[in-house]
Amino acid sequence: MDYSLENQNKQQSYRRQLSQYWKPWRKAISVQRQTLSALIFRETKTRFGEQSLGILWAFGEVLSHIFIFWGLWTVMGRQAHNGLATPMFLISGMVPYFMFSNIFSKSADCISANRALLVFSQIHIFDFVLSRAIVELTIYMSAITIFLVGLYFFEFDIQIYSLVRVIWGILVLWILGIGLGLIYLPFKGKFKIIDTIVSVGFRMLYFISGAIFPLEAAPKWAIDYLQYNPVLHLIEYIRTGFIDNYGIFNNIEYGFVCALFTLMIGLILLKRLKKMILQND
Amino acid sequence: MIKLKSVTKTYLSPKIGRRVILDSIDFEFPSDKNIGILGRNGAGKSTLMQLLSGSEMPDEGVIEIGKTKLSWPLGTSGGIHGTLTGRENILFLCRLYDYPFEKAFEFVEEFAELGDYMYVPVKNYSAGMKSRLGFGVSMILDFDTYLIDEGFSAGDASFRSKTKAVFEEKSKNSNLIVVSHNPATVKRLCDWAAVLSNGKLELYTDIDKAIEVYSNL
Repeated sequence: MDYSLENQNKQQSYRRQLSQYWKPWRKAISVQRQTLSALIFRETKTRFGEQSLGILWAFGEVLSHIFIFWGLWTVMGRQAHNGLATPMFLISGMVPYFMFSNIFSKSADCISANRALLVFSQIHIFDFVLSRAIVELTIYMSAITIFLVGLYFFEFDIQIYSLVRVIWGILVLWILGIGLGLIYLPFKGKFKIIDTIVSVGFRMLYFISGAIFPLEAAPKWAIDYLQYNPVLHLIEYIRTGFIDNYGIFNNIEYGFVCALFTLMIGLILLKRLKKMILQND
Repeated sequence: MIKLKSVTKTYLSPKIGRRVILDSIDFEFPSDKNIGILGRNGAGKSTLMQLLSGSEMPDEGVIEIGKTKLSWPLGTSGGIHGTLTGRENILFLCRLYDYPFEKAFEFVEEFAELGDYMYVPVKNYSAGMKSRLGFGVSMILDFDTYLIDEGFSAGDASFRSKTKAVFEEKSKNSNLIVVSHNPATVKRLCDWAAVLSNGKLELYTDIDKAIEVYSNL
């Protein structure tokens, strides 16, 4: 009797010790969850709340680009690219690219849009970036699903080779967007030259990321440079999820390393240049 | 216990150059006293609030908050978001601080007396209504230290007396840091007062003394 009681006490004390050890972690995780859920609520409200058709607008933007280039390809008489039908080709490239570029610009804008929220001591700048990125991911994941279902209803032949590749490719692109956004964040609005380079660079990236047209046909010297573009690799990797062996630039390992590397640099800059970031307007 | 350790904050303004707002301030806020901070316009009161809440960083020095649960700066508009309605703002704050929404909403509805304005975006509120909403939510969230910017300058008399009653009950477990240019506000709410001028913060345990120093600035 005594012995079992002692044993029980001992067990309880072990459990208490263990819970003591986990407590700060549990607390940190739950605070992080609360913060993100509050910020995501606010983000969706401000992104879509003002017009009731806000979500349609987000879909409409990417959809209009898809239709324009679908029309162009049709006029030029091309039905497929590396075996992928034009609408599939455009959806699988355009939607991820729009997500990526939106995450980049929204992360870089996060201070001016959320300045009023910095007064809450538990909210960090990274929470702004993360909540915005999660909202964009949700929007464009729904967009790609809805578009593909839409194509299916219009009796297009939808083939999906590996859903895991599609999702994994989109997630890596998501990380890359966050990383690049974080790197740009401290410098945004500080030097005119950097802002110009970034905006011109992003417009160019739209054309050299393979979202609109395939790039294998590019001249040899151009390919030598293009193969360093991680966005191109990731978009082509997403397409290998629809049709195996798509393209020549589909190196997911390279894309993943680039994404992690930019995220790491971005987080270091976030920590080191916090004061500079807070001066953003 | 909130501590400022040689905190310096400067701002660079066009034409007039770099201005020192806070000049290596060492200060401790005792955790059982309500502290008022008196300062004239531009003395750095709001800057100090922003530094305490973490929305700005000092150029030099550190601010130690420790385990104190610190509110956002309450007052005219801090922490309340303009494009959201009153109700949505309460929902946001409840999620942020993990508090049951229904309970908070009931309390704030009664406390802030906003009526149908609860369902209108906050940008259409008057200054007084905004501060009533902010105070209402913060009252129920139980902070250790409340940061109060410019007291209740925006509220009317009945709201002021209501808030004072709640704060008196709260002061058993929590305390206030009030910044104001109005000695009457500080005298009404605080035990001790500090005067902020020329970048220095001087604490007086006698409020009347602080007010005298402040009015001779």
